[in-house]
Amino acid sequence: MPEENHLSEEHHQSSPKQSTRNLRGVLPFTRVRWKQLGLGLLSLVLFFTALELLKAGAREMTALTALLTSLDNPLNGLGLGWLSSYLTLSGSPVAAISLTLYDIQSINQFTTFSMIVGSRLGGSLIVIFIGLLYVIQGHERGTSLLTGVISFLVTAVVYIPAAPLGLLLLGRIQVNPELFDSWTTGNLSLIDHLFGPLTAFLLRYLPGWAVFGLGVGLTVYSLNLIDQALPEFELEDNVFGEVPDLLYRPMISFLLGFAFTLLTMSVSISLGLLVPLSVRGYIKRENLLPYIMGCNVSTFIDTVIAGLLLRNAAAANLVVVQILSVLLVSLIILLFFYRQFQNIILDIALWLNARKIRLGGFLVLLILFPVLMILG
Amino acid sequence: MHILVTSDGEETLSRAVDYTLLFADQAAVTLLSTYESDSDRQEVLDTLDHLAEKINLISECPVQAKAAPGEIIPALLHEIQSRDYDLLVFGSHLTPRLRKIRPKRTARKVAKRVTIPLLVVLPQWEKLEKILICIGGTEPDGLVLRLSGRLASAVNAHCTILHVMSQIPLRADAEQEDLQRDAQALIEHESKEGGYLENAMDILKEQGIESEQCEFRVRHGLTVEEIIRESKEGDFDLVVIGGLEVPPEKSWQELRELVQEDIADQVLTEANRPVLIAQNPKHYPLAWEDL
Repeated sequence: MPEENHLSEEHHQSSPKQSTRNLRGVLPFTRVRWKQLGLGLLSLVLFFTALELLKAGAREMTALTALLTSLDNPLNGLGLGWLSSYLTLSGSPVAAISLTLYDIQSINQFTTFSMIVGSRLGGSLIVIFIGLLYVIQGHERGTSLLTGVISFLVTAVVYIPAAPLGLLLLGRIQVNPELFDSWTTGNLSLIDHLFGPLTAFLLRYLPGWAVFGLGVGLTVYSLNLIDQALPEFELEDNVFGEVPDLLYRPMISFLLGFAFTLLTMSVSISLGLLVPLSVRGYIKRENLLPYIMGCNVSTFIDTVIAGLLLRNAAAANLVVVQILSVLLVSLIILLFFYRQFQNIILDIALWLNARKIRLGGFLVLLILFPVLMILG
Repeated sequence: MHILVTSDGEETLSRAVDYTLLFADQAAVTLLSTYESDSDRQEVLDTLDHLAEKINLISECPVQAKAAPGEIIPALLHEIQSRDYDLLVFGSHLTPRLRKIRPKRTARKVAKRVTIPLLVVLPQWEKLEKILICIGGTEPDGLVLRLSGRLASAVNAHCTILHVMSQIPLRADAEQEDLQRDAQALIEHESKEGGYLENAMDILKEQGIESEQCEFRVRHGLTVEEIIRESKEGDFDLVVIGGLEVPPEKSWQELRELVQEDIADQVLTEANRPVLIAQNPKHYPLAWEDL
């Protein structure tokens, strides 16, 4: 019967299109570049040097030590980390600096923990500030800011309950220090020999604050260099070309966000990876939230590296606890409250984004909050 | 056309038969029910005979009644394997034992196991005048529209083609106009979605639906929530949606089915009205021309 065949054939025609695969490898990048590999090694060395400069400079700065001592509680730490990340335009350098200050015992583990949480909150706001620049350039408000607002809200709703949980877990969870020692001692002694004299030289001729400032600048620069050294991902042209089909199930989207951020070490790059999946630059609301949640767990990877480079098992342990607490809260939300969580976040984000005055007020609050926390 | 009518209970079977008779008055109907013990068998057969008589009174459908021992899902799967059915009508309780936690549990299990069009009927629904046809953000699913068109044409129902714009801008420089437009504006501006809506209308017209019998609707928000909201606000008698299908040429079929989101399952779970999940049998073409 022609009609029967017609029905069946038509349906096959409507099947999803075959994706074009790049079969050069199973990894999601097209080629390894030796220049990038060298750049990666150089950025790690610079990052290590930056941490050394931070430590050396901070030890010499009695004023900084006194200031940090006066701010030495978790709430102050949260505000300080949050506000500082506005200045560095990223959360990662602030998290690394926090660990360094912990390493030289300028702040305790609870303040360090809160500072890292604050740095990630502030870091997620940078997306909104970048969006604001687009608004100033004439783009429409809704287009430019909504993803940033959602990103911040997801981060805040997960990190804020994860912070007290992590503070409770600190001291109860202890990663075996030998794991860190065995890795760091052998690998870093060579860098010590190469760059140790440089730090000593700078300290001899520069004041402590200048060395510290140099360390901050080098931290930001080296982390940017790490981003540049990472291979270019081309989701549409390789084995991950079918990612859009997979993003619909929240847990899968969460795992993809986690994995891509682990590989790229940056939430914004990881989010950017989704752009090629839609020619017009859109993403389904359903897909975005769990993806950001996944990104927010593995975004601590560069802070773990900072802990390893500092050769401080307690510092690295602190980051591991942070990852575990964020992971735990994320999984609880995904498994038990995801629909409610999704609805609340999207409703708030759309409400804020609907009027200039709401969004403006929200941004003012987000600048005032960390200030009040530091003063509080 | 062969229709298999079954249910998760005696009362729901009767309702499923009533609903089937709204649109099928010439199709071959097989009634299937199960019994737990031999003592129940005669009672089940009597019920089936009673329903068969009812069908014969109202329609010209040839009827066959079958009773099988055990659970309903294995029985209906066995029955589907034994014959090329074109539609499975499943009468479901709206609120079974676990009520809101796992509504329509058996119907959902059936939906996951069968690969023919599945119409899940709820007890209180007795009319088929308004059909909500859900289409996605890609080229319209021909099967969804053809089956909807055949049904609507058979009962002279009004059709609404629904597309949910769930997208939000990911890039700061993305254009967002299309994300806010309604159906008419999308068509007028010749956007991708507008083109899909027009194509969908063309397919419905091929099935004998007049332009005034059909309208477009675009909603903005989360896909499943907006479908459910529209079905309630418009008081639709049937929601039609495509089933989760992994193309046969793809590898890792089971894994893909496991990790891909099943919108149809969510709509089936949450809708408080009949749902038709349009899916293609794997080994034979559908024969819906008898409707």
